[in-house]
Amino acid sequence: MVDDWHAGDLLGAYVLEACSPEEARQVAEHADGCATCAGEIATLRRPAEWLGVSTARAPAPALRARVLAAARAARPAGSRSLTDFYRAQVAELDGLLGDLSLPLWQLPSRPHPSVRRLMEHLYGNDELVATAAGLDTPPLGPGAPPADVHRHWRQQAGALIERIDRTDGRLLDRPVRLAGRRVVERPLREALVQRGFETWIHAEDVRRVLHLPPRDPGAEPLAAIVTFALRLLPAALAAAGRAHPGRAIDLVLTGPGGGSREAPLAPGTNSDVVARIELPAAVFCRLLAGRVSAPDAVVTGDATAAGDFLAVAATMGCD
Amino acid sequence: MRTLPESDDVRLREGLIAGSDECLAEAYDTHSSLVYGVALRMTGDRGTAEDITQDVFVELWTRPERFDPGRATLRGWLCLVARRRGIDWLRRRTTQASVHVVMPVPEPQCVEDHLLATAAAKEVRQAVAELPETHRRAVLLAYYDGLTYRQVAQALGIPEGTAKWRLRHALRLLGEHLTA
Repeated sequence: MVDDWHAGDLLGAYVLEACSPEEARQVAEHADGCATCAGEIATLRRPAEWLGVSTARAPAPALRARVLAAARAARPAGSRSLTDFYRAQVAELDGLLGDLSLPLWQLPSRPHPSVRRLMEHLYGNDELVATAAGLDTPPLGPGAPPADVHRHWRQQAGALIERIDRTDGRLLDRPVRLAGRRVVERPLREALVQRGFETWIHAEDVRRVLHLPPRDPGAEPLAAIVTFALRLLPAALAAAGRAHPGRAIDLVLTGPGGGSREAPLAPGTNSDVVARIELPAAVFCRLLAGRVSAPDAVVTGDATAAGDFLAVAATMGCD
Repeated sequence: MRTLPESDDVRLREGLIAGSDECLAEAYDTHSSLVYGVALRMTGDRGTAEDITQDVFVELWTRPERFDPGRATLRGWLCLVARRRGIDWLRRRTTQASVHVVMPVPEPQCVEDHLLATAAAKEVRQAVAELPETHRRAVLLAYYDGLTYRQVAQALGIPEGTAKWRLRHALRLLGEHLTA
């Protein structure tokens, strides 16, 4: 492809999904680095999205009940609120910390040198969200005794949950800096998923100190964590220099929270699947947190793309 | 590509992920006539259009995370899924893929429906109706019959380059009409 090639006349067919898969891949790859073509695609997509309206026609009234019943049969309704997952993990970790004797607080909890330092770290990450939510958080001085660290963390987490539960919704759209190695801002609603995620992972860290087995958080939280992470991964792949524009992974997650997801390997492109990775959803989430070094995943297809995806996925934790 | 997701779409997606069946009912009430209309126009069969409508909303409910409000509107995404289902159905039905019968395009029907009652929907029907005949046929063949631009060219007996140009220009004209 020459440097001055533009997708040009193909763009209308591309937006209408009326070109060959190979042409669609070429256009997507090109538009990823060409603001002119990306801009025209965005411009043409809007009228294309409206086209179907011209033939809109009300279905028979009986279809409504049939569709809703079929949907509920495929996936039961639940009334999980945004804070339920976080609240459950805070309660879990709070209980575990209550069982820790003073000497156990000093034991290492990898990658942190002690449980106390782990909890200071968690307090700091929670503080990013608490501050964005308008809470006035009390400072936690360095070297505070374990009981103080425990109390400060619990109070801050409790105040955050209460604040979110009473919000009118606009607060949830407020941008927040996420915890983690890269500077990324996302809406507060997504930061709450990350709070639940990190609190679950650290609860499991403490369970290890207490020689307790790991405990999965349940299907819906796992699915929410996967959604949260897959949204960030294309940019993370690009930042790590391991993006594959126009390519995607068919991520087949098994067990609770599982399902088939298409994971693009670069930001902002339509993608063709080049590899398939299959592993349990709970293992994938622990991999995201950097708690699984060599997942027992079944990989088929482009091994380089799959390897890059798993390597960058393993850097999505908050440590 | 889009930078400003529609707030209703973001809210509905969150609700669907959280398992709120009120959000599913709201999505159905808002968009079912659009999905059903596309499916009916593509298949010409009421029962098949109902089946496709059901499949589309069950997919939205079971896989809401697949809809990305940053890249498309919910309306556009549902149309896309309905079209893909319709195209699958057409391909299963058409055993001889090389022969495409160009069906006459019926005029859009007047339907009393809250979606169609909106000024925007009337505007779209008007914009489609006002496209030059050559452009309208090309874009409707691609959209509702699921033809590639090469197949559009074959069906209309025009060069492929002309078919590509008509599709692009038709969308431009629609866009200009809709933003005017």
